[in-house]
Amino acid sequence: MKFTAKTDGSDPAPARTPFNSSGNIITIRFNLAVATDATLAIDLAGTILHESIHAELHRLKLTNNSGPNPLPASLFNWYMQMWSFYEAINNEDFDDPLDVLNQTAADSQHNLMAFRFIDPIASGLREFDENSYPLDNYKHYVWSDGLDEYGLDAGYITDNELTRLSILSKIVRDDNHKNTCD
Amino acid sequence: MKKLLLIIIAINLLYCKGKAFDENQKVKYYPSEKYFESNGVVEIDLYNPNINFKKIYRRVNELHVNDSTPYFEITHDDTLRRIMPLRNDWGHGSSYNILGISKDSIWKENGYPITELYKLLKKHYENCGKNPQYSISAEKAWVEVELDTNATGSDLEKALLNLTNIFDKLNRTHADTLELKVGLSYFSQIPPPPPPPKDAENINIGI
Repeated sequence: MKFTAKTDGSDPAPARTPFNSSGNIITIRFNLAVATDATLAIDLAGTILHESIHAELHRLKLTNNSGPNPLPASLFNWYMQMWSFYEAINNEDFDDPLDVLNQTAADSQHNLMAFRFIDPIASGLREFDENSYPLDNYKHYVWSDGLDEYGLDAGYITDNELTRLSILSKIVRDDNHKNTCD
Repeated sequence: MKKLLLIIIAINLLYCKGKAFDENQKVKYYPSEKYFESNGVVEIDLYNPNINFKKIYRRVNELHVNDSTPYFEITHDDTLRRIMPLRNDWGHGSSYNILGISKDSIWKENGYPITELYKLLKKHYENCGKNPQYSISAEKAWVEVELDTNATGSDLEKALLNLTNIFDKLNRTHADTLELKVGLSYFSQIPPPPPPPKDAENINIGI
């Protein structure tokens, strides 16, 4: 896995992790026009974890769920079912095979993350914040990385719950606790 | 011959609808003129009858991927508007920086009618991180426009005209210092994927 950076004012995504089917290196590319010095450390930490999970899910797809840490079989099978489902749609919608791959990876992986990775990522952020607050205080930072629309569509979360979590997130953001990366 | 001439004039008038430009015409750029300074600016013609919303969305993202800058031109009330849509494909912006709108709705919190666009744009652009569900700063705020995949370029023109008019009204209260960034989407029209396995909620994923 490799981290790179560029500056692109026409791209609102703070980072992208393209699917690389030909090499052994998966690159996470940060957009410095969005992930700026003013970005909260906890937001940036959330983006790093989110993109790292994309990288790991790319690896699991490329290696057919080989170790270390493979997904449980039923979860991997669902991931692959979603992959086929979205690939069929995206083959109709996009001309470039790379666009099909990247859109298919994003759709299937975001669904998987919205279903099963909210708590693990929130737990990582809580640890990063020196376990200052309960887990729910960190979940807004996970959902708002583009997972909320998948979670709402699939019924994993409601608008009211997202509002409740956003209010809890303010406690983390507005306290006096200084993270070394702030 | 006269008939043929009239037909040619009519076709030209139809094709040029909204595209007439004179030197005294006011030009407005969205987000701002600096985005149009690169060499690779490419207009996407909203008046092309063979293009629909999904094709426009694809073209916008293809051009961005190839390091070009796509833009739309809309003429209305003696003002030419040049709008550069953002890249908005498989990467994703932070949800709180996005104000999603459709033909008749605003997608924020539990939803609002499009008639409240001024109020919501103001809240979004002036939030500066106060409410975690709205933009972290005016610089990072943007608006995502979703129309039916079969909507025409004219439908998109109408939506963008309404948006730019209301944004301009807000921007006047900020001495024209705000930048309107717009992205396109049809996310809500993508069918739902197969449901997760029944036992999956209790499976330990090892992290």
